[in-house]
Amino acid sequence: MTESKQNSPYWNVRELVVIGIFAAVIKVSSILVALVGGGMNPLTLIMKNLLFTTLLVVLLYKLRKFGTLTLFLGVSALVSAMLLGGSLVLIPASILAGLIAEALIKLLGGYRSPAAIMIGVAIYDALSKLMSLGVSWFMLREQPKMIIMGAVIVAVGYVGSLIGLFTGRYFVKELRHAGIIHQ
Amino acid sequence: MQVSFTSNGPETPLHQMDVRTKMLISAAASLVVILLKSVPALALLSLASAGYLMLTRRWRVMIIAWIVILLLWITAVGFMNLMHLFMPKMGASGMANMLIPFLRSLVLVNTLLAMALSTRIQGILTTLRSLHLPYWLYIPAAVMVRFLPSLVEDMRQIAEAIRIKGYPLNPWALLFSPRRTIRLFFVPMLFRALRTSDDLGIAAELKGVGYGDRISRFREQRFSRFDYGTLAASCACFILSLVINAYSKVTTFMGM
Repeated sequence: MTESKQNSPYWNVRELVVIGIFAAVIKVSSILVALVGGGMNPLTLIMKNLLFTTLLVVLLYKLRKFGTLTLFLGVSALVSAMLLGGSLVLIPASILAGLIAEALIKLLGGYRSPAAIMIGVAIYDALSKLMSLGVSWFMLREQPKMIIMGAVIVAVGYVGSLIGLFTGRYFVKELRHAGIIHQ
Repeated sequence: MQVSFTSNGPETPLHQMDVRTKMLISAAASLVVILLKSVPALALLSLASAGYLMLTRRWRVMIIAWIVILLLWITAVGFMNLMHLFMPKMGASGMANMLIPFLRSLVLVNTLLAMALSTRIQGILTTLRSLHLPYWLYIPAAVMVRFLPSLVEDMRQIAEAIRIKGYPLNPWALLFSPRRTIRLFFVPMLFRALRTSDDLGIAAELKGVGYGDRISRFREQRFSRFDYGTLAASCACFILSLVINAYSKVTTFMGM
């Protein structure tokens, strides 16, 4: 290995900038869909989750490196907590779900395998939603039956996430065609 | 670039407060409300957090947020009673038990809203620098914070272009034609974001960003007396609510 390669950091600036920009795009589009759709209706939930997984798949295709998902989640959570009022209790749950999903991607062949990326994103989303429901249980433990409603809402949102995996792949094909994603 | 897009209201003492103080209060509130299970203790925290939120003087946003939480609670109570009609085992178990989740949400919303309504982009960047984060966490976070206002501006321009092309731009049309919404709204946004990320990445690389050993700070950020005072008052409220919670044998309130 050459000396310059040994000294170069794991993340280069271009990659870090891509993660930051995607974190911003995903956050703004989620807020926009929630504002336009008015919150708790099935269509808004599906659309919001669809966009999230679509953009996440595009990010993971563009930056095929171990740690991308976790770093994206960490950055997104940090800025949400400081600027947009994200719940601080949900941050560790989200990052833990990201780490499990990354380990799974690694086991399934790494970021070079498109199937591993899609399964990883699907598992991350399912785990983070389940962990959020777990946190909700703490908040609603005096009235645990309320969790049933939460679970229904989460399930509807997850349908959107699953559709988003395929729209994400479609987006990647188009972006490759346009020469924006090279790999 | 717009300095702040989260706050267009009056300059208040809360705007001068360190973002770390507001983060600490929100984090502590998130943990304390999970531990509390008595109505008087949660009511005390709700009142205190409402007072904290009032420091922002954003009355309209405040009232809308409270009305939304109240409506959500009424809807939840309504659904629980409806479930009780059809499945008696699934019904609500006492008004106080219904009130506790509502009060927990109220405390969280109050503290988070106070932070969101009084924090400026520049304040976030200064705080990020003062947190001594590693470069691989600081750079994307700073890019995200800096890019948010220009992304909002991009979206405004895309919306204008859609309107000029003659497509309807109302919530109904956007939600019920998801394919068209994605094609007209989100694809241009994604293309623009990817191009910007390439440009910014090259610019940052040319400037040598990320190659230094550590990030140097232009100005050290310090807590003011107001920060210490607010932290002390918050600690007192949290301790008092925990004491009330420990000594209140019943979780009910006024016989409910």
